[in-house]
Amino acid sequence: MKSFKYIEHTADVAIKASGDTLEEAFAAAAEAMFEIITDDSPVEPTRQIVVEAESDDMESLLVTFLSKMIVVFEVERMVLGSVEVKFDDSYRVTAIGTGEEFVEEKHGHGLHIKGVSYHMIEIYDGDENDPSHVRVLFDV
Amino acid sequence: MAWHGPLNRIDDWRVEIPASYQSKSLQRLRLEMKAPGLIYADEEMLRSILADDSLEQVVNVATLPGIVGASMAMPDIHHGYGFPIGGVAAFDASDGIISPGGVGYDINCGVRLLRSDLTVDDIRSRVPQLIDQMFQNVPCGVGSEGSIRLSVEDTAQVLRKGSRWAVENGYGWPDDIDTTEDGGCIRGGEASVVSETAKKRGKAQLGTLGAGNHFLEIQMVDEIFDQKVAETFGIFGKGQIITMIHTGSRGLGHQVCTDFLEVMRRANKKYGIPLVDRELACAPASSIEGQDYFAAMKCGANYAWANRQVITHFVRQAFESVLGQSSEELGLNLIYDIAHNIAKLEEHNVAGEARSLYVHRKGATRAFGPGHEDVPERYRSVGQPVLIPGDMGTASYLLVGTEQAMQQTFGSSCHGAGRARSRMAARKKHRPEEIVQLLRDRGIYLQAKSKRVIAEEAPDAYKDVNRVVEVSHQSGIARKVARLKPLGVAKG
Repeated sequence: MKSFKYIEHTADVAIKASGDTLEEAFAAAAEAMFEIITDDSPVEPTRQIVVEAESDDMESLLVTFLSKMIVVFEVERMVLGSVEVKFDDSYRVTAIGTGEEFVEEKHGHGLHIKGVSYHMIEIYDGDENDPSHVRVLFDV
Repeated sequence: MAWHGPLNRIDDWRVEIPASYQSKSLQRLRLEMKAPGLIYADEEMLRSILADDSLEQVVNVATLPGIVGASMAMPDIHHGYGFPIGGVAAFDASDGIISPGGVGYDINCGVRLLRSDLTVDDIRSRVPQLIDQMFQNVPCGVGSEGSIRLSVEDTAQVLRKGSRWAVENGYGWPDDIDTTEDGGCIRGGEASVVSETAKKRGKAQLGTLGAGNHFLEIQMVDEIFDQKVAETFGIFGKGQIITMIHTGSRGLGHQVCTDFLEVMRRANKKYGIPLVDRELACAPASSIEGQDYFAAMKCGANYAWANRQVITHFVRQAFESVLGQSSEELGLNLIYDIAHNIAKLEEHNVAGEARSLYVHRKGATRAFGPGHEDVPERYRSVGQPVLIPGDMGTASYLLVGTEQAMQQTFGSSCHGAGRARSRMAARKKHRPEEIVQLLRDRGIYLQAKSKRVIAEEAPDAYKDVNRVVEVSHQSGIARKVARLKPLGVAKG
């Protein structure tokens, strides 16, 4: 099950995103970003977008992957309601995002995410008893 | 985490962390502070500073190669990532580093101030109408796009020319350029080092405000502390109407930072620079990676100046359409525009020797004193205007740079109130409607895109701007000129 919660931080927004697998935790973090950017109005699944990211360690893979979500919003002008993530090999992901075109009146206004930071970053690959999670801080 | 390291009080306004201090993280990596930490704070401010990890961040910055003087913290310091917000650090141009983390994601986030010949009695009842018009003219909130679409060639010109591009294209007056830091353009902005993604993000965002703490405010002069300097800056008296614009380089600047954090991550390995925190990622300033970042950062800075210049034009149009007079007749001249997230190559006198330094100001304002050639000629006899935005319910300040700042802080001062309470805590504490009412009770009209942002930007989520400014004033790194009280606020 994908889920996320906010973590206290004075200036910016930090989250802990969890899932049954690390892939799900990555996906939960991406989905969280769109909840932060918009208000809590529903997102209809009318369009899909493929997002690929690659790096040379897990932490920078997460930062690179989530940074691309900002581009999905600002350049593709899409909001995503759900994200499926697949690790292609150790430091490469392919994600399929499902959502629709951003419409101001419909999706509302939340916080503008400027960047994804390494600060406080944590990646935990768990098991059945102890879910996987990622912790990440967004500069807003 | 609380601070357990040493703190030596120098005087009522400054404390020092000696360079001999070894935090646990430093011990683990066998790193040493290469310079002391210097924090501008009185006892009262220090208590809130000690509540977060910002002093550890001051220590971490002091480990970076080529640091000169001290790793400094302005009175509004708070916890950032890598570098603290409110941090000032200078690195030797030949053997020091340059770091995107010392600038931040919002390259050249900054503030500008427009004067007017109006007084509060002229427009009090029309403040809501003016704010609504500005809100309509200047797109704001997340995902907002402007009316300008930049072609590839336009983008290159904006990145090279900054404010000048805007003025040449009809957004503003030639005179605006004279009263913008660096004339609204740092030379050497090279579009070829800026990624296509960054350019795509910048294509439709010129002339937009963004969200969060960015705002447009109609303010009135509430108190004048230095009549002579105020007059030099175009301020004639209490009750005068002033407009403040606070925004930065939007998605283009953010993407430049994201791109170069990755470049620097690799450069760190290549040049073998040990880091206590990944967000301090940096490269030797003279390296190809360092110079590419500097050229790209200049582009981000120039975009931000063009952005504030275009917004200035829209703000003037709002005044014109609501009041039915021209901006010239209303005297809507630019007092000044400053950057508060930037790295600059500057020459400073260090122990009697002129040295070229990369001065990083992250959440800190340049505050050059009288006589400096980079201060506009019309202000040179008194010093550079320093603009300090406060929270939306209290006050903002106009200060002036000092010779003492030149000697102590590489000509730098504070940049704002600084957050005291997290966004989450502010949201738990206040309903948005409550904040709207609280502002109304204080005679302040608010227009905002996001209810969430209203609660998060609650006045009590910030440190007391009066206190922050007092420490800057008393310590001598900037002097108070005027206090400005908000009358109307437009927020993203």
